[in-house]
Amino acid sequence: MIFSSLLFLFWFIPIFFTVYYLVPQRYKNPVLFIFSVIFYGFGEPKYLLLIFLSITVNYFAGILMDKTSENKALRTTVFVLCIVFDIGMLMFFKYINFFIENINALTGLKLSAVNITLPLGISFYTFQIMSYVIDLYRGKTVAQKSILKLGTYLIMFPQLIAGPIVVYSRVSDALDERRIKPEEIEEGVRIFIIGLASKVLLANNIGMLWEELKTVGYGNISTLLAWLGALSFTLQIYFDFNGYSLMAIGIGKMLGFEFPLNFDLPYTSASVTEFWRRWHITLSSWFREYVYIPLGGNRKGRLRTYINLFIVWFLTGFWHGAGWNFILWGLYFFVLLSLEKLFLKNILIKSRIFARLYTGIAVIVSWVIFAITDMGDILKYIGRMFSINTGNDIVYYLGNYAVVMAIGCAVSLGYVKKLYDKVNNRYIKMAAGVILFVISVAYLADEGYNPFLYFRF
Amino acid sequence: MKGKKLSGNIKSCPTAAILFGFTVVMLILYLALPQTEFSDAENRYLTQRPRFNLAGIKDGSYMESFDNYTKEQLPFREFFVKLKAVSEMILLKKENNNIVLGKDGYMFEKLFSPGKRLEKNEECIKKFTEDNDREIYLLIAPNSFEILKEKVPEGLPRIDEKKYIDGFYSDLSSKENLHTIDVYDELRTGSKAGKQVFYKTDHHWTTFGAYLSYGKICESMGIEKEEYTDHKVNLVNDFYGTYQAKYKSPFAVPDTIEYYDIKIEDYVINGTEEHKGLYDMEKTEIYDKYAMFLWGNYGISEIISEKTSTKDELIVIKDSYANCLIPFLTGNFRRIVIIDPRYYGGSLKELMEKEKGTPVLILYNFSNFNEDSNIYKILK
Repeated sequence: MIFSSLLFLFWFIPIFFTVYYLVPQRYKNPVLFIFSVIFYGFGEPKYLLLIFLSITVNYFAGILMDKTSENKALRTTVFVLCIVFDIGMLMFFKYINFFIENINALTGLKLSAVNITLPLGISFYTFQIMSYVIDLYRGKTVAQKSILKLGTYLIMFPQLIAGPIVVYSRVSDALDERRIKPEEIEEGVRIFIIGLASKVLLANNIGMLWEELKTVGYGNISTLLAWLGALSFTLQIYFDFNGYSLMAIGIGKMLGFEFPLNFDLPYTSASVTEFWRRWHITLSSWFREYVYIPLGGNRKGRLRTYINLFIVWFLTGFWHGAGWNFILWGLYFFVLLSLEKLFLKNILIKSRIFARLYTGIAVIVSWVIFAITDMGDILKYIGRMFSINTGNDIVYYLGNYAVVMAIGCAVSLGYVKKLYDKVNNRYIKMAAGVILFVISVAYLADEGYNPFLYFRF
Repeated sequence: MKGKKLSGNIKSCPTAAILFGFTVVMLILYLALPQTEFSDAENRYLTQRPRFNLAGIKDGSYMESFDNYTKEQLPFREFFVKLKAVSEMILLKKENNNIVLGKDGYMFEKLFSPGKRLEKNEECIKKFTEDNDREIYLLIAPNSFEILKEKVPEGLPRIDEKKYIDGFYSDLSSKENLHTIDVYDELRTGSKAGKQVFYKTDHHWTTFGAYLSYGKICESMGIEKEEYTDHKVNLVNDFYGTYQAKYKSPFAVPDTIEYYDIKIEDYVINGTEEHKGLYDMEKTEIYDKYAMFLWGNYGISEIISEKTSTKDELIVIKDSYANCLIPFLTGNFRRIVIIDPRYYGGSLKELMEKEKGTPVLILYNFSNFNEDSNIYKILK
């Protein structure tokens, strides 16, 4: 099930929240667990087993590590086996066919592809559960004695399929006990609506342009349309991804959980370094906390720092999908971040306008690499952007998308938020919420285009 | 939210209370309101709430139909759909659900590039021509955005249909028994003279557009064109077509369907259903009024005309563009067999053997010819 569906809004929400709010505290986790199973099972019933398996293995690994705290070698063995299992699952279900394809291409072998589809959300929940065992191993958290609580943490529907990546230690207390305050519910609903509107009204609406260029053919579009198209995907991915995160954070609040912020106006950044501090924050912190710093971070000399950066960005790219374009996308950022570290940041500091322009172009180009899976097509598209191609197609598309993209730009650059924060009248805020919700329902009622972009993550 | 301090709590979360109430009411309405079975406007059956069943849960079909059910049976769906259309207008969008609004209320579909089926379908026609030793006439009709170029919004990319039709026709020029019929100029001239050759809200050509094309068919077949000016023309008003069904504009300008009083002896659909006329007047009362022509689309049907002075027969293999054109042909043929491969389950090969020598007219509109996955059946 996805949040941006009538099924979720008008069936899941009323039934689930009625039950959840009515049952006493001690039943809240079981209720959340059961409804999360239904939520996930609605789309991918067969892969429920995989989550259950992941919960069971990591739970017992935790218990074992707790019991073997005296015996370091045994404890480490359990830990390593558990991590091998977690990463192994992810590797197998997400990357096996990618590896097979490339081995075939490289060696001329004819290994046949494995018939599996990517289990929804596996990249997110694997990273979440790994945060538990790693923190446990490092003594930063204590073992969860209740399999139900650990299970609830992992399968909890708000952030299950598209993040944010909530590390275990952040919510471990709330799993034991959480107070649900009406003010928090109100805040949660507001955040949810903003997320829903981001996804349904902006992402879907703007993304149609990018989608359409695929059928028009990249070879047929003018330079201006190529830029407009790339900008449309830039806005789409932000509103889509941030929309999901906001919906998750909002629902979390309604449930009594405090999830971390995932996007902090990334398009206002004045460098790529800053962009990555503001974009998909929970993923970059995960890599920093569990890969970059354990590798030594920047404390082992210049060369090691860049090697570590390379590893992290290779992995970041690869995490986004089993395709070369995602690896290229990650390494593209490795190069830019390294350049900024080396000398570029000193130049960027001098002119904010230049810095914003450079960052904007760098990010827009990165999304082209991200969005197009075929290498030849990426080159074709970027070629279209950086050469002169005339044509009047821009007239139609600008006419069609100017207003909605202008709104998108204003929102993504933070102007709308500033305006919203200035409003003190709660009735106006309430009316805004209700109106946005109703219009979102209208777009879902007549949806032409409502994709789920993270099926590759 | 429940409990003793309920009212105090609600005051601290008014938006949550309103919207939660809204979702509960919607859920109750889903359960309480009678379900719509058939949507006239969309011309399709709507998904009903599926029965809970384990097999369906196992293979996921239960969840899928449930998801569709929530979309198609949404309470106040019409209201929400209109609200979206209005919102798109406020955003100055020129399109909704892939239908583009052009000048003078004309709506157009978007077609950018040749579809996957185009080449296959062309091959089918070639093969059919080689297999069948008889006169074959082929008419691929251009669509409205090709003929009414000037009314399409500036800059909208579109496939050059004329180029593809011309190219295909010239590929076929070596086949002696095949006669291609080019109606492009006829429709362009007609339209430039101020006549309406395509509907504004529907993908079909108008009866007049079909009549112009009928003239070109007569020319190609070497038969005498019947002048229909002496027939009485009837009008069906307030026709909203397939484009409007998708665009859903609250301000769409309705079309008017014209049809001529053309009498026939007999019209038999699928060998069983018999009618004494070419038009189903009951369809003029429903949304899809175009379906009045030939009573709709059927696998096989047969017209016996009143033209007793001739024994000429014709087989028409077609899509729905032919439905408003075939009435004109009853003035030239005593018997017309009509095949719509989309709905035809029988063997066309056998039929062709039975109807030895009878000429064939193949009539498709380009957009459909570009995508239709049933044309291969003409070889089976």
